[in-house]
Amino acid sequence: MKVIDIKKLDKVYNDSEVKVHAIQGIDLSFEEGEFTAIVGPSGSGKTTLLNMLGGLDRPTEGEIFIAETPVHELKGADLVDFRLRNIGFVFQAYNLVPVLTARENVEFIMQMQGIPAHKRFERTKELLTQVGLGDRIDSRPSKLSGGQQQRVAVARALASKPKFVLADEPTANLDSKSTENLLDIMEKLNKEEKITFIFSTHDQRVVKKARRVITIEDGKVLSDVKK
Amino acid sequence: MNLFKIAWRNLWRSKTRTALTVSVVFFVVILSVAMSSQQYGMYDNMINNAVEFSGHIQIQDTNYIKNKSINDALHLTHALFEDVKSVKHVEMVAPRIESFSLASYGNKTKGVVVMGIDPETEKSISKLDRKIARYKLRIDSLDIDTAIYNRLVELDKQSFVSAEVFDERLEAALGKSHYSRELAGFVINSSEIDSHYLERGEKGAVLGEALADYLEIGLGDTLVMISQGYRGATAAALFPVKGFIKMPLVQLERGIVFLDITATQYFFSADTLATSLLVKVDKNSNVNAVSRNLNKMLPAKLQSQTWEELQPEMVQMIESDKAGGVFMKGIFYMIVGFIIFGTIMMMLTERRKEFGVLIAVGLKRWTLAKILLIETLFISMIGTLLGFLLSYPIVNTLHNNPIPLQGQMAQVMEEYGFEPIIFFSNNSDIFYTQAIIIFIVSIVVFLFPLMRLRKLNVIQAIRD
Ligand SMILES: Nc1ncnc2c1ncn2[C@@H]1O[C@H](COP(=O)(O)OP(=O)(O)OP(=O)(O)O)[C@@H](O)[C@H]1O
Ligand SMILES: [Mg+2]
Repeated sequence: MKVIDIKKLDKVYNDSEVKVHAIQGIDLSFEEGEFTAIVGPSGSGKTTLLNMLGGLDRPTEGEIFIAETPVHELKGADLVDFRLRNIGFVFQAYNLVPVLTARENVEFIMQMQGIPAHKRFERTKELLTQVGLGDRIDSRPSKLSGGQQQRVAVARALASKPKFVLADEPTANLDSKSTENLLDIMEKLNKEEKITFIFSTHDQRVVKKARRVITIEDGKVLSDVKK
Repeated sequence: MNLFKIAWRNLWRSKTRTALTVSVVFFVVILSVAMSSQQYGMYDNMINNAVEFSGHIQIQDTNYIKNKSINDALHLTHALFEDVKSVKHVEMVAPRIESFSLASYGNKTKGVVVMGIDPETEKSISKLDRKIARYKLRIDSLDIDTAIYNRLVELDKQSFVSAEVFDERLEAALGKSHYSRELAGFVINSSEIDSHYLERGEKGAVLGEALADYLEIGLGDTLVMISQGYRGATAAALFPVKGFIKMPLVQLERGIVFLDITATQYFFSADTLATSLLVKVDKNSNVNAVSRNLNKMLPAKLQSQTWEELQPEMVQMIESDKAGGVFMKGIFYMIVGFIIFGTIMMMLTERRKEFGVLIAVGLKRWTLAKILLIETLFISMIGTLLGFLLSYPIVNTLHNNPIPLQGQMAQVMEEYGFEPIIFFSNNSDIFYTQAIIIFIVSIVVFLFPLMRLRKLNVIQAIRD
């Protein structure tokens, strides 16, 4: 089943002096259960594409459907709400609130989603156990390694049972061991829990794990390889 | 997760900054509490003195109000008395006849205010009976150190209204180490003078102590008074000195003679006349209403005026002094406002990325704003509370122990017509006002950061 369908997507940045045509007429679709890497040189448009898929940024032209909903038409509070219920995010850094423990970080977002307290606690434990941090639930981010922090971020992204998780260079700040570890956990979640992951990366080892690799350059899809 | 808990933890992310901001609020609160307390203490004292000496309300002939001449005195009738007394909330009515005279003893003469009073009713209005100097320290009568004597004189002239006050002053002047109950008892006993308050119908004079000093007149000596009486009658009489009285204002004390009202009427050939009727009202808050009711009821040629109407200069002085205080405190609050503003802006700036990520994952901006607002209020309210904790005991102690000024400072104050004592108010309004102002300042300076947060570009914030 198709989760994302994008048609003739265009993004032009013209807020600065030079116009930047960051995305140029991309057509793509993503199926449920995908484990997809988006690669390409720096400045090719990976972040721009992911931001639009996540409803954080607005396309200049074209359409984005997520589970049949025309996201490009959503505005304001509706968009925020849609994002909250359908999309999980993992960013490169600063994912967690430093004054909250791992558990509180995950729980806080669930609270914002209006999940009742008794369900929150169970689910948080379950999620943190799934990412291998069952024994660190009461640690603050500063007491966790970068890789562990990213795993908490993954757990948080899954809190709302989203249709897919977007991760923009989630391993960029991690050493190779943590990178491998995080990827293993994402892969496991993908296989066992059928979580759809779409992530951008520069790292060849990460690319190898992906089952589909989309290469973009200058805002255009150069290749789209399914293994 | 409760937002207060998050906000509280956030405060300790930069301990030093939080501590600094809190201490700025703390110091400003202490400063403005101290300032307000001193100001309101002074106003309260001025008003109390004025009300005590002149009553809440005075009824006078409209011409007397204009001319202040004994020729415009009003007729004291039993009916008038009863009518005034029958007005609701009126507690006490006291007649006074007031005019001027020359007072003379030996080769000294001075123009004085002659205040003819009913000694009994005045007890509960002006409490003059409690202001009689009963003790007077004389260096020749005592075998004490001149240094101690001088210190005593500096502390509180030389005379005291009661043995308790005298004892207190002795203790202050001698210091704990030299003070002994025995010595104090001896000094106090040997300083007692035969100074009395007036009795009804008595033909005697009670003089302001400073006036007596000037005239060099003693108790039992005879004061010569010469004046013009009612409608130009000649007024001349001799009055034995019965007592000395202490007034809060030295200027008043230097030129006032109290006589019994009957004796005064006789002296001025003004039988059954009074220049004013003082009215004491049960509560301050009823004064205006009582005065209005009196004016409705009184004959047209009589008018009732409240202490505020009787002392417009004082009311004006208080108002303009208040305005000055508001200006000073305004500057303090502006400083607090800027500091809090800077702190919030820093909190916002350094957490831009964090906020961007949180908004992206679904936190509402409003929730973030609430956390930031709670942090701001924590800072300002902790500062305010700490300020109260320190300033309340201080202000309270000062309220109970006003600071008497000495030397030149005291003289300057007296020349300007103030009691040379710094009073402090411990009215809870002072504290409420501070808390409310700091609260409002915090909210106002929060508006700009709030707008910044509203406009925060999520993508930009995450990218930076
Ligand atoms: N807000 C913006 N305003 C103007 N130009 C922008 C903006 N954001 C991105 N761009 C431009 O759009 C193009 C694509 O940027 P994008 O960040 O999507 O690349 P990327 O593939 O994610 O690069 P990297 O691998 O370095 O993260 C770049 O040329 C970039 O300079
Ligand atoms: Mg990028």
